[in-house]
Amino acid sequence: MGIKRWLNFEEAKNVDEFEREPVPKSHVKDFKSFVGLVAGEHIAGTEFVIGPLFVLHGVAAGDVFLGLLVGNILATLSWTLVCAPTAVKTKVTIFYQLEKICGFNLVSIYNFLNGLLFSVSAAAMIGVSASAIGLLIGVKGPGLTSLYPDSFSWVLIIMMVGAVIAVVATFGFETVARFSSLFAPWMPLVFLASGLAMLPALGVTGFDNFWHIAQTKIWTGVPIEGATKYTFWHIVIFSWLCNNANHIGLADMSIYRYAKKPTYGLASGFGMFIGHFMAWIASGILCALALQSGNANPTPGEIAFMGAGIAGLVCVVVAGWTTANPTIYRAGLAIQAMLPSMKRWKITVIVGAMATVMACFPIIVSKLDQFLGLYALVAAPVGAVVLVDIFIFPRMGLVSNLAEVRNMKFNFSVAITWVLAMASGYALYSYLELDFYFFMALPGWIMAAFTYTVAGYIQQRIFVTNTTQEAV
Amino acid sequence: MKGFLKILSFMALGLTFVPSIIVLVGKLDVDVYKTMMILGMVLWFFTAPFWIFERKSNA
Repeated sequence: MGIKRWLNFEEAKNVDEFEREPVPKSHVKDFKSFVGLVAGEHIAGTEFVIGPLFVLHGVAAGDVFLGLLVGNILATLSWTLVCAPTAVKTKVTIFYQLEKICGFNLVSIYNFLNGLLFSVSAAAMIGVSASAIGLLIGVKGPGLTSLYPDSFSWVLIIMMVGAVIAVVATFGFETVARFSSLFAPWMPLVFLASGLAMLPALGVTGFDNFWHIAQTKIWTGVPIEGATKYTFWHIVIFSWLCNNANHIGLADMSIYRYAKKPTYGLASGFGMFIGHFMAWIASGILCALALQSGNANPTPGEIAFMGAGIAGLVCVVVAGWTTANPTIYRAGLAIQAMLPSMKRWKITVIVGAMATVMACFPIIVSKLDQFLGLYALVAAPVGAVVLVDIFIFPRMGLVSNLAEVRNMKFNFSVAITWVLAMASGYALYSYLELDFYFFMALPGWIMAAFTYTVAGYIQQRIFVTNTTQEAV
Repeated sequence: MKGFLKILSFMALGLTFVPSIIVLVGKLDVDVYKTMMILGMVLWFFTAPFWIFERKSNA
């Protein structure tokens, strides 16, 4: 019955996602909905890439455990203290809130970039899911550096996976959350089980020698040839800021606007500690085993199959789905904000189709880390602008939502802030020769908060006041 | 009926996780563990959808 309901397109057409109005009290969701959604979203097929990354870059065992603990606590606090309070106060999406602050023309640039980058991210998840299905049915996918798909069967698998994701996202938040809740209890257990079951193959015979094996065979502190060395700080910053666009960048306002209380942001802890702690540790263990077996560059599907057999492969497929669903949903909301007269469900179908087409081209998927890094540079400053506008401006006696109040299409103080924050973040990234763009999300965020406070003050106290006086 | 399905679902989760502990202590072969993971997966997907979507009204 549930599946029949999911496929009822008449219902999808009538789903009201409150794209341009606050979510009414009658539609708020309980804490459990958020737990299911974030637990599913943050256990992606890409966890089978990130856990191994730490092993390949020679993180020491103590650094990986302590770094993940600190970084994931900071990420959970960022959702709870920054994103959820803003979302609960406004009850609208980041896209609509930003339009009120910076005007339709400027927000359209942001929405376009968001829609594009969310689609790339969803395409990567579709690609990872498809690679696992390919392994399952014996269809070999193209290499990550290939420009085009090399077989029709591969394109068919991609289309099938993309169709499921687009259809589920079309039905809105309720269905996306339900879809995730079905898999949320099962997926983490597959990750945990595969990590534990493979420990004996590395020589672990009990708790007494686990730490010794962890230090000497898994997280040895020595990177593989050609890889840079990661430290405790890499792990803290990676685990804290890899989702910075969602928490301090406020993209998850789209989700947490359905929360009753800001404390629902704590639900993110389930996603962090299951997906970005336990799953990264488990996939690190599997990577060490792959290295021991002579496979220096294992794919997510190979790692999952080695750790849990067919159930592991299905887990990778499902993990890709449950991450891509909310991503496509957000992309739909972003593009819908640019085209308010067009129905969200139609836009979501188009965005889903776009992501599916992109997933056919492995070269796009293989550049995911660079796209995500770019997204961090773009999104983090915007989160700071919204936060300052909502919480700081009223205390300074300044007007919030200036574009809406003054009927502006392009708020220059926001544009200047955005450009300055992105430029300074990129300059710092280049100067320090860092590994990832998103390491610069925090400096960019702080820079944006400071610049917008000053620029907004000058704009409202000098330019707007003078204009108003002249008009009077 | 739903109570029974719930019990089966929790058994499925048990089949997914418990064998890994038995492998860890060296009492189970890895191939048997992987077969039990498949059984757990199938049991979960055929029982959980019938009760997991139930939700209390939170209006």
